[in-house]
Amino acid sequence: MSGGWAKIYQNIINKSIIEGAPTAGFFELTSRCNFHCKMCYVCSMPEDRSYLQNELTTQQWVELGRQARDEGLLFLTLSGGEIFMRKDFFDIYEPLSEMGFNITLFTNGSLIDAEKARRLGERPPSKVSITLYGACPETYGRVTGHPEGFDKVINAIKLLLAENIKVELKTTAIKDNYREFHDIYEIADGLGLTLGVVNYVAPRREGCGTDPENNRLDPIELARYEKMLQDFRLKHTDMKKLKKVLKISVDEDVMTEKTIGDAINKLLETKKTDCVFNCTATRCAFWLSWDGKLTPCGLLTEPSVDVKKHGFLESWKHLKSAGLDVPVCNECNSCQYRKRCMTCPARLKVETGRFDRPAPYLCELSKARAELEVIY
Amino acid sequence: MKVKSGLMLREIAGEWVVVPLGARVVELNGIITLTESGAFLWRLLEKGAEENELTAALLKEYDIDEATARSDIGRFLDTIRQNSLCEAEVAKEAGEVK
Repeated sequence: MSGGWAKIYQNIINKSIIEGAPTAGFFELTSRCNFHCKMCYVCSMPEDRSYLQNELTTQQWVELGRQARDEGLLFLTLSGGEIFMRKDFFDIYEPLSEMGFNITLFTNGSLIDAEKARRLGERPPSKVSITLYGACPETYGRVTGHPEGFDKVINAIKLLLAENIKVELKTTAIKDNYREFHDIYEIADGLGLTLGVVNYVAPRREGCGTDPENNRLDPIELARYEKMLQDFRLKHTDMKKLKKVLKISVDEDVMTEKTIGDAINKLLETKKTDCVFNCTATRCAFWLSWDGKLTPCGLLTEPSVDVKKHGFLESWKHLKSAGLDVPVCNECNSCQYRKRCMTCPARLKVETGRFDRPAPYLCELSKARAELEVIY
Repeated sequence: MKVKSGLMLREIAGEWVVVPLGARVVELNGIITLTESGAFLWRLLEKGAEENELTAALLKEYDIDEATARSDIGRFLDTIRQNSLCEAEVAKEAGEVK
């Protein structure tokens, strides 16, 4: 019997990559959201009937959970849109919580009231991950369209902590909020929580009314922001207390964590593979969209397989196979800035429409990182 | 000894793990990994096997001598007790007090 969460997690992911087992997955329960963030890549209106009609039903999500569990799904993230927009959220969550998953919830937090926190506390997820869009109501107003959201989110965090539920905070840096990093950090620190930073804002996948490309930081602004984070982190690494409560992680999630990237690199040294994804996507991870499309990750709409038609297992087999057909970007691979670049097939596709074409936004960012000596 | 309900033994990509279900996450938020022989013992403990039964089963299943088996099982059960993964052994303890 052994412990050590990071070690256990990495070991299971490594073995899953070798086996091609779908160990990590996202269930995108809805694309609807009560917020309307300027930079969101998937955001439909709260009561949009065309979306509501096509969302997988309660029973479909529960059944797909069973099917995925039987094929080895262990790390399950429930995401949106906003997951609490679904009136049947607990009818989906509670059966899933009895299936043997390690569950993470991605939420903006604003719809979590005392009753929902209490109910979550009865059968807690492994973690609730909440994105902070600013450090005050005014910024929440500018970013999400809902200034009242700030107080609601802070209240929700306190309610969850009072229920002994593990909470982590993230923030997505855009033009309207990146200057508030230190204030956001102070909030996380005050609550004794870790803070992750989402630095990459992707162009819109679907939804309406959002404009990620005109609201995200331009490449030079982003490189400067990352440099500021780097300096901030270096400044604090020798302060024990801060090190314990604050982990500034940039661009890391269950599919792209640095540890997993390292694991894949090690595997690539010993085992030839035709898969061009440099993360766990299609290797041992998948994204299941609100309308039942199995895709490599949340950014992509293709390759995709309809789980309603094929069921989970067949869809996963199709997806793995389709993942092998994704072409490599040779220009990126031979680029002198490759090590500083966040290029990946999904980002190239959403930025340029092709998997194998360099994305100017990412190219400029990697050059700016080199000039500023941002370690990535 | 019987392991608590609400702890599911699963095999993930060749690794044996125990995952807490539902309300059990309140006590144990995480995942426990087991060796293959640990998983073998865990399955018996789900049915409430006693130490002698575990020893007999282990000797039958694995090429191991009895002293080693008893020692390994003792350590395994200690770990389970220390991590509060088993049901309370109140009845047995009360009997011993009498």
